[in-house]
This record gives sequence, C-alpha cells and structure tokens, in this order.
Amino acid sequence: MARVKLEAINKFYGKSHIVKDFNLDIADGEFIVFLGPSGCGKSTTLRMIAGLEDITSGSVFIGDRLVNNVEAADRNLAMVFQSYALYPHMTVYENISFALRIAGLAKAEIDEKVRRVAAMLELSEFLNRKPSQLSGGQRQRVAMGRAMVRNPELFLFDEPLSNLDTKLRAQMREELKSIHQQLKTTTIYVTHDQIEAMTLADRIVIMRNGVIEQVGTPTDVFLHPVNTFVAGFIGSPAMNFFEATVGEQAGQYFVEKGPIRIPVPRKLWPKVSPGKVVTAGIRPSDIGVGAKGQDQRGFLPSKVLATEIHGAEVLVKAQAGESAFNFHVPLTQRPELGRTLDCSFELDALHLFDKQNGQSLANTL
Amino acid sequence: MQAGKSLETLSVAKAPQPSLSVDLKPRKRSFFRLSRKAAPYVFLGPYLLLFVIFGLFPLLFSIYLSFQSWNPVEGLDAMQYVGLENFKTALQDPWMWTALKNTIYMGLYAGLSQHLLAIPVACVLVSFGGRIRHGLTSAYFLPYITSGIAVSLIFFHMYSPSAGIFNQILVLLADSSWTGWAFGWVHAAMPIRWLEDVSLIQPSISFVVFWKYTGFNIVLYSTGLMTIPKDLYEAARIDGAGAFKRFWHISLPLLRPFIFFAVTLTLIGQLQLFEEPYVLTRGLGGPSQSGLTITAYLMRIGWEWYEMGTASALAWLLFLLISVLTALQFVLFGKKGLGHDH
Amino acid sequence: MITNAARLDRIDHAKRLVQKIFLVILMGLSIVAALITVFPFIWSAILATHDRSTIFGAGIPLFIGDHLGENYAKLMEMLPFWQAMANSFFIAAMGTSVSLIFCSLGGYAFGVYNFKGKNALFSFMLATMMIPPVVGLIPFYLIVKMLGLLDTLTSVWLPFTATPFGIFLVRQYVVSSIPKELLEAAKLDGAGELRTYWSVVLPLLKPSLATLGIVQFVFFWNNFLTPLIALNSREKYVVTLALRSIQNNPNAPWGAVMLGTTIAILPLLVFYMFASKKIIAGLTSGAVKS
Repeated sequence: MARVKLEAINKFYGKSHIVKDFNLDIADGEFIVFLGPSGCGKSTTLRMIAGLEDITSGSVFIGDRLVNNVEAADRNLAMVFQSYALYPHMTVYENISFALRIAGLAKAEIDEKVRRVAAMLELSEFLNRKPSQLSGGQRQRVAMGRAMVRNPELFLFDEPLSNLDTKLRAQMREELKSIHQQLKTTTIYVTHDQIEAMTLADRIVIMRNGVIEQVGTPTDVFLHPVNTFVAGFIGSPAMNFFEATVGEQAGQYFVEKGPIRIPVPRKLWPKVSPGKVVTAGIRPSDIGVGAKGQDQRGFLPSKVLATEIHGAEVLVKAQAGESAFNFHVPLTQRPELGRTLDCSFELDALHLFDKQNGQSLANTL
Repeated sequence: MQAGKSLETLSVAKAPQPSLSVDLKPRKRSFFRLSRKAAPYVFLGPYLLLFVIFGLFPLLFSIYLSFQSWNPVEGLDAMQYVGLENFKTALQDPWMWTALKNTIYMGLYAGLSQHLLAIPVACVLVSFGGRIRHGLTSAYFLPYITSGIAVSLIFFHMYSPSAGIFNQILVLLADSSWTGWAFGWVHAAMPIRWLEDVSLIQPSISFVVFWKYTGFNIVLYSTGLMTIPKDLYEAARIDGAGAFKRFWHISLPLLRPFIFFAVTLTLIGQLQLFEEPYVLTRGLGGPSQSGLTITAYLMRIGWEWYEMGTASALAWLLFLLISVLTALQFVLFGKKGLGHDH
Repeated sequence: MITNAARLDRIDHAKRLVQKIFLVILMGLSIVAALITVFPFIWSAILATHDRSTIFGAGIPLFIGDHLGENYAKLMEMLPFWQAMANSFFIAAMGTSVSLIFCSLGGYAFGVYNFKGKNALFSFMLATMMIPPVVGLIPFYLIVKMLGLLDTLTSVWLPFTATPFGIFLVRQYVVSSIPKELLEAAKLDGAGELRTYWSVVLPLLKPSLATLGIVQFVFFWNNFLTPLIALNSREKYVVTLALRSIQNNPNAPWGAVMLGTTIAILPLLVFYMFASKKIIAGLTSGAVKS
C-alpha cells in the first residue's frame, strides 16, 4: 500500500495538450475516482501512472519513489482494463498466475495464492475454464483476480464495469467496495459513470479537457459544485440553469428573470451586488410542488410542457418565464399538460455562479 | 524451471505478512532482457538478414552483372565491363525473340482460356448448395496444389504418341460406331505427336497450364461473386432482368476488381512460365524451340552457356516487360475496375 | 382477372421447370468437368500398377494392374527415391517451421511497435514482393555458392523463411485481432518483450500461422527452380528434381515413373482431403484479401 503523488503532470500528443498541469495527492488506502466525459484525459492520466504512457512533464510518486522512469512492471501496481484483457488462450488459473510465473515464484506458492484469490472472488470452480467460457461478470472477476493476486501497492481500474449490464454493474460495485474495505489498497478508478463514482469513491476527481475541475468527497461535489461544469455534470437529471440579474429591494438581495424572482440566500449576500448577471442553478430533486411555508423558499410558477414516466416518479418538463425546468413528482401526481404548477424550493438549494467564468459564488472571495 | 529460483523466493515467501502476502520484488531478471526500443529490430533481424543476403544483394549484383561479361567458371577476375553490350546481345538474339513469342502465345492461350472458363463456372458454382459447391471447388482446385513437375510428367505420358491416353481415346472414338462419323480424320493423323509437332506443342503446353490454374481462378471468382449482396440480384429480378442480364449487368461489373486482380496474377505468372514447358519439352525447348520460354532460355544462357552477364540482362528485360504489361493492364482496366468497386 | 392469374401461374410453373432442368444439366456438366480435372491423378496411379506391355499396348488399362511391386523395385533401382522424399520432407518441415517463427516475429514487430524507419521499411518490403524471383536468380546462385551452401539442403529452405508475404499476413492479423490492452496487461504482469511474444502473442497467432504454414509447406514441397540450380548431387535431390531427372532416360520405365509421381503427390493429396477448405482459403488468401 502506498500514497500516490502526482505533481504538475502534463501530457502532449504531438501538439494537442491532453492533460494539463495535473496535481493530486492520494492518501494511503484511499479510493479515488477520476470522473469526466470521454476525452477529458482521465484514462491518459491513469495510463501515465501505470507506466503505459510516457509523461511529457511532471512527476509521479508511488510510495516515496519517483516512478517516471520505472518500467510498468516494476511499479508494483496492477490494472484492470475495460476489456479485461484476459489472455484468451489461457485458463482462468493461468491468467491469474501469469504474473507470478513470470516472477518465478515456486509452484506451490503460486497455487496457494491463486486458490485463495479465486475463493475470494468465487471463481474456484472455473479455474480450468478459458475466458470465452465465462460470463461477463465472471470475466470481470478474473480480471480482478489477476490484479489482486500480485498484492500490489496500487490498483488501477480503467472503466472496469462499462461492459456489464446494469444489474451486474450494481452487484460488482458492491463487491469492489467490499474488496477495497478488506484489502485497503490504494485505488484509482476511472469512469464516466457518476453513480459508480458516487458509490465507490472516497474522493472524486472531476476532469474536463485535461484539467481538474474539482476534487472532493461525493457529498461535497454534489452539494457544493465549484462551477457550472461540475454542477451540470454531477446529478441526474442535470441541474436546471437560468441566467438572472441581481436586484436589491429594502436591503434584501434577489435574482430576477422575467416573472421569476428569487431571494438570494443570506450567506451569499457579500458576493453579490445589484445589476450583476449570474447563472442560477437548482437541482430537479430540490424542486417540489406546492407552496409549503412562506419564508426561505423560492417560487417557480411553471407551466407543464411534457412529462416522462420514470417508474415511481414522473419527470416534468416545465417552463417558468422563458426558462425551462425539469423536476420530479410522484407518479400519482402526474400533472396535465398546460397546467401551471406552484413549484418551490429551499433557498439553500439555490446555486449561484459567476456568469463570466462559471465559478460558484459560494467559493469566490 | 522452478528449482533454481525457489530458493530466493522462498525466503521472501516466509516473510510474515497477512492475507495476500509477498510482493514480487525479487523479480527474476532474465540475463537477456530486450528493451522495447531494440525489440522490433531484433524481431525483424531474421528478415532483414535473409533479405539483404538472398534478396537485396542478388538484385543489386544482378544490375551490376548485366553490364559485365562474365563466365563464372573463370572466377570473379574474369568480369569485364561491357556497357550495354549484354542488352544489345539479348535484344538482337533471334532465340530471345522466339522465346518471347512463345511465352506470349502460350500466355494468351492458357491465360484467356482460364479466365473465360473460370468466370462462368464460378457463377454456376455459387448457385449450387454449399456442400456440392465445396466438393466441386475442391476438385477444380486440386491441380493448383500439386507440383508442376509431377503433373507435367503425368501429362508428358498422356501426350505420348503411341501409348498416351489422348491418342488412345481418339482412336477409340474413331472406331466406335456412334462417334466414328466425326472422327474419321483420326486414323490418317495417327500418331498425333502432341509434343513434337511445331503446331501442336504450344496448345499442348497451354492446356496443362490451363488445367493447373483454372481452379485457382474459379475460387477467386467465386469469392468475388459471394461478396455481391443478394438483394442486388433480387432488385434486378423485380425489375425483370433474366439470368443472363443479371450476369451481364450485376455480376460482371461488380466482379471487375477481381477480374483485374486475377488477370494481373496470371499475367505475371505466365511471363515467368517455366516448369510445365521445361518438363513437357524435356528441357530441350521442343520442336524448333517452340516450347522455349523466356525463363527457360535465361536458365540455358546462364547455366549451360555460362554467360551470366547476358542472362542478367535478359532477367532485367523480363522484369521490364512484366512491369510495362502490368502497368498497361492497370491503366487499361484497373482504374475503371476500381471505380466500380463501391 | 382470375383466368389471367391462373395463366400467369402456369407460365411461371413451366418456367420453373425449365430452370430446374437447366440447373441439373449444369450440375452434370460441372461434375464431368471435376472428373476430368482429377483424372490425371487417377490415371497416374493406375499406370503405376502396370508394366510396359500394358502401358504401350493397344487397349486402355482402366483398372489397377498387378505390377506395382515390379515398378517399385525399378523405381528404387533408378533413384534414391526415399532419400529424395526424405529430403523434400526435411526441407518442407524445416522451411515451414522456421518461416512461422521468422514471419511471426517480423509481422509482430510491424504490427505493434513504433520504430524509426518502420513505414519506409514496410512499403519497401511490400514493393519487393512485386519483383519476380527470376530476376535475381543468377546472383542468388552466386551467393549460395559463395556462402558454401551449394548442394546443401539449407540453400533450398533457409532463404525463403522470412517472406514479405508471410510477414505481411501476420502483421495484418496482429493489427486486426490482437488488442493492444492484452499486450499492456502482459507488460504490467512483468512479461518482457520476448516473453510477451512467446507466451501471449504466438499462441494467439495460430489462425494466421496455419494459413502461412499451408502456403509455405506447399511452396517448399513443390519448389523446383531453386533445387534445380542449387542442388546437383543425387543424394541431395528433392523429389521434384529426382522425378524430372529420370524423364530423359531413353527407355524410361513409365510404370515406375508414374509410381514415383503418385507417391510424390500423395502427401499433399492426403492433407488436402482432410483440410481442403483451409488449404484453398490459405493459398488464395493473398489474392482474395487485397
């Protein structure tokens, strides 16, 4: 086990700058998830840590060792690939033991380790099968076993669950979590699936265009997104945004757009001034129908444009003034089209971002 | 494998560590560990080495030789620069022109007949079911895998004037009351000397070549036909096109890239024709040298007359001819053929 | 309306019948053509069992004769026949197996590595495929002589073990069928370059190596031109050369010659009977894929 330190990592492919000045300190035993849309540089960063990709500039430390020039095989890490990359001509046993055989371990020792890992992953009865004779979930487990058997200091996962169906994915997420709790090996996990990130991570690193947008715990990035990108990327359905202007009336600040007028939470007062144009954001999950209580709520009288049944809940697509909003209502309360609903939300749920640079006002000085 | 290493790893294995213990630190280092930079060169080493020795050197040396006069028996010192003399000799040599003419005629006989037959046969074959198609294809292809020397020896005997089966069958047909009316000429012509008659030797050799290579082309064309989507034929059918029209307007145009390619292969192969005529003429060239091909003549100049310079010049002339004809074929049919291939 | 439809139906029916008859005729013709194609092989096998008197007699001997033993004895007397067969086998086996190693190494190098001069070398290699072998035949002979390989079996197999075709074939297969992640996994597992090639890549190349093996074996077994110029002592003869050498015998015992020819064809023929599909696909692979 080891801490991992990434210092000012940059990666260029020819002229394109894939990873830009990436800095991150990962604690021993931590489960870190790199999250971002495809092409954001998360896999490239992972592959640089693995030693499969050259680092253009910067330093990677695993433990206290600078590994920039250390061969992948000597970095004492193991990786699980998206395609699993199992050797198709070898049995499960041979796949799991390959690294040990190369290292020249004694037969008996190899056997013992392979069997222990196989038992942990419930693969014992499949040891003599070829990967082609296994189900998707079993292959995934073999890939895990191959990584675990080496007892590395660091686990790297490159979208390991994306080839599985939804049900299996949920199951494997739990297993991954429990394995991590048992082994406590430092883990870096790359995914574009925010649910995986939320459920697995100690900390999530959200990336876009090769730049870290935010690092934080799942709760942190959900409740306190630092900018519009993170706010829009995390949460499904995505946060509702609208552009509004700050106004002042009787010492109270509010944001205003057409018929919408929402008080600015008191804690944000120091950050706003009348006339400032901001991007306001409200999560669909924070919006409710009906005016419960009067104070500390923002109101959005919205006209229902469309509804989508998502099981127990109905996604309502509505319009308030010129802005579109999405929110959920229970299936039994599915509204008619064209009706106007009295929607409201807790004022604390209002996010305000600088219109120019998208940064959250809550974070700016 | 294990015995030597187990000692060093054992000590580590005994280290008291919980659960999945033991890291792989004492990694066994092969004394010969290839770096990633060097690996491709090492992997390509055998190819590069063999190519330089047996490929590149002969090619370059052959260019050099074609400007020298040299009898190898007299050693390397006997080499003499003669400029373009060898090319001049080769081009003024009447036998060279005979050999060229023979090669081209036999190429036309065997080449044209191969393709004219292979295309319709392939069309018929693909309309049969998988099993019978495969059986027939296997039979047609068989001559292609067998040694040209072996099959030519068989044909050499089959062409034999007194005991060969060709003549015997002709006599049988002439004597039969059913077919005799058509084969009256046979007895007067007997014994037909297939391989010793100037007018028969080239068709006789061409027939063997035709027999040996038609199957290969049939397979190429069948493969080509099977790449044509079925719905094209169905659409044509609905438009009222009969079998022949479908062949003419769909199969043939879409087969064009395959025809182009197969004809190119035949062209290159025919210009280097050697084994079949060599055996069928017993290495002697046949009557009036009508069975002498360019390659056979080149071998004669080089290994019987020891004129390595002239032989090299002739080899390059042959290469030039092949290149020009291939290029010509490309210009004439290639572009159009490829244009059809969407 | 109805009568019209019925009439059309009848015409259709007649048309289909004509088509069926036509198809049967075509099939008959195809089968006859197939028989004609294989006839020479059967013929040579039949002649191998006859002696001079029946071969040169008036009738056509359509059945197996009883002079096989006699012909065999004559064949042995004329030639070190089994020595030639053994030489052919040795050349084909050595040539093919070494080809598989050399070509897979080369194809793998072109398929996965990036190195200086790769593209130029690859294009150059493909270009040399177009040069007919006759062009360099004389200097080839000279270099074989210079290296002291004249009249050795090595000269007939070694030079043809790293063929551009084979390397190209393997390279295409590597590019299309071996995922990069697999090689990366091997790297992380600690496998060096050679180990990765041997334990991970080579086993996965099997399909392409089967194709290449077929092409090479058939080539080595049937090769005539190289043995003709490079081998000259009788005990070094390969079977094609040996058979050709007795042809000029003025009183060639044809039964014995046909026996030798049949035996020489037999190994490939037997192989072909079991794997004709693979062999056909292999030998046309170069042509069909382009």
